[in-house]
Amino acid sequence: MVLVHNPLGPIARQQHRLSPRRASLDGVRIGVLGNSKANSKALLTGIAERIAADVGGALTVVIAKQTAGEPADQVMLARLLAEADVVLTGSAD
Amino acid sequence: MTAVETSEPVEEDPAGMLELVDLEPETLMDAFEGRGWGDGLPLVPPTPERVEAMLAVVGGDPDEVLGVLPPRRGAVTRRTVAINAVLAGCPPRVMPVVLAAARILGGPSFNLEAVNPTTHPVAPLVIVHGEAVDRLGFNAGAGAFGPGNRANATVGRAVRLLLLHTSGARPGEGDRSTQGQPSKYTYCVAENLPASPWGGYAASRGVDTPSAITVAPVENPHNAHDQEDDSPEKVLDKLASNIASLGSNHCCILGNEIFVAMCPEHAASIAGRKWTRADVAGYLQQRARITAAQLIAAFDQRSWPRWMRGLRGDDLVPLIAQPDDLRLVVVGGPGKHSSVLPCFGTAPCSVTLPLDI
Repeated sequence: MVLVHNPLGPIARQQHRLSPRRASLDGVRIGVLGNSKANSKALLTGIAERIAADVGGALTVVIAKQTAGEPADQVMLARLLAEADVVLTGSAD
Repeated sequence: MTAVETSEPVEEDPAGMLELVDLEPETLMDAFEGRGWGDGLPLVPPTPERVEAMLAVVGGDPDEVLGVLPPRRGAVTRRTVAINAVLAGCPPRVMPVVLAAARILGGPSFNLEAVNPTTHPVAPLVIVHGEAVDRLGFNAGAGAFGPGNRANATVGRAVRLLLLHTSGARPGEGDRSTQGQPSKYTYCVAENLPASPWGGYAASRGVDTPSAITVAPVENPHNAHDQEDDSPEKVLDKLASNIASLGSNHCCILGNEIFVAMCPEHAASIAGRKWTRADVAGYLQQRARITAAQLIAAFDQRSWPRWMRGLRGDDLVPLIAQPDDLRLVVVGGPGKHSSVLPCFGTAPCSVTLPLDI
């Protein structure tokens, strides 16, 4: 038998801690972070408005990144932090 | 909403060794194929002896975390880079180039988070500049984009294997490219500095060191052929036409770099008429344009800056937002074929750094 190296190597992972789950969505402020792809805004805002209607909440902020290939910048994140309790994102092509 | 907390990268899941019955090529190929590893081509077994020989060239702590490769968030370490360089068939002398490329890919200035999972056919191109070209045996002349030169071929392949393995950029998984592209096997070229009438590319970007490296996420080279005469306009108009294609990502995402790999004969013709590097970039920025009417008719979805939303139908939209986004590198040997290499995403896309060999 012979040994060769595994090519994957170790994982260097940032530790992210999830926010505590909300006990209730009653009156929740919902934000949308779109990626500028076709139908992204329509899909995400449609879902947000449906949830808001169901729980007595509100769609309070809608932001679209300039392009899908860029991360949300600090200004966008700060606005979402200030104006929303939960954020919907994640639409692709 | 509550902000998440982050910390510096930490190591987890240290790589183990793989036990094989022998070092026959088929044995290694089968072992890798069974695990979803490799690029489909024969590999050099990464034995401890070969990996140590690769590491000896660069020195330093083999397990120091030098960067992070998304989406797997694999750690860029000298050891992991060396393992993939061995697999690719790199001679140890080129290890500093592979390591420098890996540090760029895993660093904060390179948008690998988007380059890997996009459906766009983009591959990181490694461009080697300066003394390293001759000293390490890279080909900047005839057929520089390949095939046939070991340094070019294996450095590009080592980068790709690192992305496949450490970054997790497997087709259909971490790499969502619709069709892929041949340069996703290997993509490395050298700048033909002796044939450049405008000096070196790296120096033009403020990196004035004996050797340097650029990593640029680009499409395959798009050929532009001109054998007419010594007119700069005739050569550059063909390149401009190539850039101003309705199929280009630049039509709906303005504000990105475009590389032109100019052959020495085109460069000599243009420079012979006293055109500078800036003249070339300025001319192409003026000429590579499409009417707003054509773009609006072709694309419902446009990630344009706000100022472009007021354009009228006959206004000409530049596919190069500003002359500085046109990146000119002299590459190749005899003949009159240059090429355009559009970047992915938005500027800044490429990174140029000093290379210590």
